[in-house]
Amino acid sequence: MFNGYRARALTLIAITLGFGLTLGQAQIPDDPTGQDVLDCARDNLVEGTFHGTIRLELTRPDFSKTFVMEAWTEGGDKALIRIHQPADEAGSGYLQNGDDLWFYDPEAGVPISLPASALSEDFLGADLSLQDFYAGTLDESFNVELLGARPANDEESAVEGDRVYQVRLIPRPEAPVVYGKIEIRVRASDCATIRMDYYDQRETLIRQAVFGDFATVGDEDSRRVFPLRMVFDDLTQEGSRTVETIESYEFDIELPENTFTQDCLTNPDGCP
Amino acid sequence: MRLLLRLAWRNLGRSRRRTALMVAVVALSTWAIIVLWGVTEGFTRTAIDAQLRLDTGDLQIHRAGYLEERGLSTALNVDQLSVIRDQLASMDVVQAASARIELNGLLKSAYGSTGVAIRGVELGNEARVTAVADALTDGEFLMGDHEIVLGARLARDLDVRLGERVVLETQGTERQESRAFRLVGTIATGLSDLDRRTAFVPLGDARALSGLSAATTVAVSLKPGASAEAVAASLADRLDGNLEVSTLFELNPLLGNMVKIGTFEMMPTMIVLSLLAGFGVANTVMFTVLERTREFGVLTAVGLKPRRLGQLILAESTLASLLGFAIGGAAGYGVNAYLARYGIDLSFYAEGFSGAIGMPHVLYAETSGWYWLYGLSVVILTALVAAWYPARRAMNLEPTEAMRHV
Repeated sequence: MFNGYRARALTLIAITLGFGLTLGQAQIPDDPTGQDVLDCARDNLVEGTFHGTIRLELTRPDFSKTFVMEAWTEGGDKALIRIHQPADEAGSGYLQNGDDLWFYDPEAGVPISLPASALSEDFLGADLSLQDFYAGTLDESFNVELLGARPANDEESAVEGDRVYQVRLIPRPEAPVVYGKIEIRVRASDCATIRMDYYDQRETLIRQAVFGDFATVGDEDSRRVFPLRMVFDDLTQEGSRTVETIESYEFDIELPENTFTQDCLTNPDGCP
Repeated sequence: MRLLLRLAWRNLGRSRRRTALMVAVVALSTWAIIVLWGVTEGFTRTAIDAQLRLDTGDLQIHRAGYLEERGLSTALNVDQLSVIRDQLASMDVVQAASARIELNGLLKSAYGSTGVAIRGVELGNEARVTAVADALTDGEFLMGDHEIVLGARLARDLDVRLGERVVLETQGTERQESRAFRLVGTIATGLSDLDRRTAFVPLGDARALSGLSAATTVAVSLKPGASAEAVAASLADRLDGNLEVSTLFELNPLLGNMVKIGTFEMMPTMIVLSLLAGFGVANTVMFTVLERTREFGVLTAVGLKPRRLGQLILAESTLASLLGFAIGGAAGYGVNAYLARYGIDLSFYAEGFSGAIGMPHVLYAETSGWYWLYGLSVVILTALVAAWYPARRAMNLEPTEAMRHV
């Protein structure tokens, strides 16, 4: 019943939504440090609400599977996810509220509580350290270094004369991070993170996350960019890729108070 | 009497095939009994020794109820820990004691993650309680904070190398904790649980991971020769009812049961083997008597008393049994000595059964000097009892009739 890949799907979404939302006003100062670049990308996290439809395509060496799901989130730690496709899993879902995590399968009829560790456990395959990254432990966990800046290419930005900053994060010796280093590329025009490279402690690139198809949301004062397409590659396992596409979205909506409850997990009636 | 023995010895020599058969039956039974005994006892001893020496120590003290749940809610508090330490310090038979924190967690490397049993140990004391530090295959044992020692097998599964960082995640008493550790050593104890699922870290780090301020367990080693049961009993008297003192078989009931079942199972096997030897001897002697009716008739006719005749037959079978016993015993001890030295590698099964009870992969036989005595009493007694009936039969022969027997 409980399927690790679906739990991973949940975490992917939870993480992605806490990530990549950047305020239009965020600016990288002239002659920045790595920390400036990172702050620009990170400080812009929005604690708002989200509702959207997400397509998740998992490709593994031995199988591939596509999920279509509807998600409601608030901040970084509340999420309700309802699976629409594949048909045999339609109606099942996940609920995260802080550290509490539930899985629901209509066949089981009752929500099943999952250990909080399920979030990171199943997640590891793709990009756990995003969680570490944005959990607020960043400054104490990493030494940040600006590697440089270069003009953005056409794939990276549509803005004329845009630049891409490359930042290297090296975990401090006692930081609870399994990677040897993480390199992040942030484009200058809107502080959108366009790529993250995860290296192991032997200088080998083992994981890669590429973000693209940025959409702009919000009005003039709170303009943000948001990646509609995210590709995660696990380079330790050939042919292992996870693609997440946001097919429809709305931000800063009013969510009913009962959204993140088990009632809404099991029964869509009376819920958003 | 000497004449009788000489006569018996010559008789054995005269019909070699018959003698060989009798000797072979006894030798085989003796061999089987000694090997079986040595292997069974050796295996349980190996398993018990390995557990005591590498894993549990001779005794453990917990808060009452801990063993049922093995959770953080039944951990020792600071006061209890200091009471335990004081009591242990006052006992002469105690060699060393080490506080431990045992909890479950998730061990992560860049390549994967797996559930592990985290064992926080006191850096100085643990080495005096268990010999885990001697089972290093690489690197060194824990020396300071943020260091971790893993089973070589576990480290390989997660592809972690010495000097690299791993992360442990736990559910502490207050909140989820995660902490980084540097791999400083790998061990291979032969105990599946320790090699595949245990992460050794300093007690201080385990306190941070668990949110505990004391420990879950105090592991105690005793001076050589001390009886764990006796010390456990007297320690239990000194400590209040909130604390529980456990010996190995209480900590690992599965192993205790295995030992009991092993010993219990041996008995019928021994009896069957003895009976087999007995019947073999009886059968051969019976045939001998039938075959030699004429000879016995002549012997009786020339004045050998029936009682002496009976003694002759018993002497023959005793001599043959002793010979068989000597051969079987030598062969049995040979096998035991080999197995005691090189052991039997059970790693093939280790994943399943022996892993569950914490049995080492390689088990060694025992070569205790007592097996031969057991074998001797069993085999020779049965041989004598078995030869009794044919001997009686021979004693009752009517000389004239017997001589006419063809």
